[in-house]
Amino acid sequence: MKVIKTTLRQIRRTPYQAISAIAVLTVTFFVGTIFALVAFGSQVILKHFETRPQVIAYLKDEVTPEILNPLKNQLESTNKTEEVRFVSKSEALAIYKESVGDDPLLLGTITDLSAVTADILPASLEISVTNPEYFPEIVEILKNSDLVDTNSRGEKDIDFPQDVVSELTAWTKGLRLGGLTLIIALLFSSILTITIIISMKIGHRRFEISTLKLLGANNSYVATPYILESILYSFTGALFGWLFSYIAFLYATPFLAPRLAGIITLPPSPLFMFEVLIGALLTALLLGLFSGSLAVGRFLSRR
Amino acid sequence: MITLDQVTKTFLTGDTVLEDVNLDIKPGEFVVVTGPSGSGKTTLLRLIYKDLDPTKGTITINGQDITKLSKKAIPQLRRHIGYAFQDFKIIPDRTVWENISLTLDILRIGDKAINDRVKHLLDLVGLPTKAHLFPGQLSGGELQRVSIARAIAHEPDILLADEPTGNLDQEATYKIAELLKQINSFGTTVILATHDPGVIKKINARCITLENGKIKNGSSNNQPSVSPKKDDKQKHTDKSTENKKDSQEKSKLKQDK
Repeated sequence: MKVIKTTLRQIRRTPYQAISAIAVLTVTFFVGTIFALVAFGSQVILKHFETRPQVIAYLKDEVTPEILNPLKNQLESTNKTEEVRFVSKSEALAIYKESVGDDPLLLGTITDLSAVTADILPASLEISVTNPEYFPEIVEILKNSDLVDTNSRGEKDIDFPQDVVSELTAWTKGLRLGGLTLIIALLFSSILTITIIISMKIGHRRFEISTLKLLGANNSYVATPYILESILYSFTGALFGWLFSYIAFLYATPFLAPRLAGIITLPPSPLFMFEVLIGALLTALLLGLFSGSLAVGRFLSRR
Repeated sequence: MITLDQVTKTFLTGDTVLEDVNLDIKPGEFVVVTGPSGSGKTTLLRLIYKDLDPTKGTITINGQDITKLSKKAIPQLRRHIGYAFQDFKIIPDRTVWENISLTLDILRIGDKAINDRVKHLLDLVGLPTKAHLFPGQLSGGELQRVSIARAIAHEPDILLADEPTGNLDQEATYKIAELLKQINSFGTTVILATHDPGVIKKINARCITLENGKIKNGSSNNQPSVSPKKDDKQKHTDKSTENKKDSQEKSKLKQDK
């Protein structure tokens, strides 16, 4: 295609402008990709905590599922719970074993104490609420129930990680907002950089453009190489930015993977990263199209 | 084919360059527009090319009033007209080949057809060996021939040639004149703006003389109404005055744009 040849020739003639445009866009897309991945990751972490049982009430030893039914129904009738689940002693043991793995110390098999059995673990009622705001109401119902056991301090034995979830929600929101602000600022500076570079090129080639128009070239003929050039800068920047962010994640994997085990699988799968690349390239396409059009727009209106 | 009806052009500076000009040019005709510098020759060509709009009057090409053309339709009009510019307007960082092929590329013509056509044009203008040279490597006469080749590359119905022999020596001037006659013989309507009596005589075509923005005569032969016969010294003085007037006219045109 001749238009691509023209575009490449224009880039070759001003290599330093091309390098600076690509460098700015690489930084934009590097930070953009990192923030997109962090925002996505924090969303997954939040979801993970939100979908886990949020309120756990430990029950007295004599409580059976039948005895528990009225309390269960009372909780469900509030319409503020997602799930109310009875966990028996044997299920509790299974969960415990799964969480400690094969550690013989925690399983009690090599200590003087006898091995951990179902008897020493309490049955419980695990409740997921539809919104963390409903915690107090649900906890209040549980506190008033005689079926819930009391702890050594004489208080009802109820666990609910309200603070953790609220804190996490606040962090996620802050992260998203901060990331978004930064990305908008970087996008703005990228648009400005491309627009200035393309405008400089147009200014430099004003004679050529006016001659082309005098020879009967329409606006699209004149503008296309410049818009393509702008898109090419964005694409290259997006590709490098994506590549560097992928490398950064691979580099950070040994540190992050054990801390996020069970929540996020690290490093991200190649398919997921490919999807991120497609997203980055689409953004680059829009960015290049917008910046290029902005730069050539005012010249197109001339005869 | 081309009709100018009561055309007046006044620039923003208040200078009236053309006043109530009436002109009819038939298809395939060769018309020489002559007159002293600043008489409105270039303005007349630019009006036909819709590089300028008249202040008053209408310009009709093939039955279409081009004064009413929208901006978007201008490229389409220009694709039927070739323009050999007085200052050549050859793009300096493109080769002769690339410059000539520009008009064809604008029309999105295929590479093979462009190659054949450019080769033919280079032969026609006598530059077959200069295809891959850059404008800086050519003489004025060669540049003018490139400009003409580019203007006729797309086989336009009309060729406007603005002082194509402006700064050329006699031999180059005659070559250009011959070339224009040859192009006209293919059926292209040629409008040549010149104040070179030698060219007017050589071309032997209908001659229109402009003076102070008005048509002084519209003869059907090669006799301009003002045919200055001056000695060389006087010609030299006139040339300097003309150059000054040219720059004044160009600056007026720029202001108007």
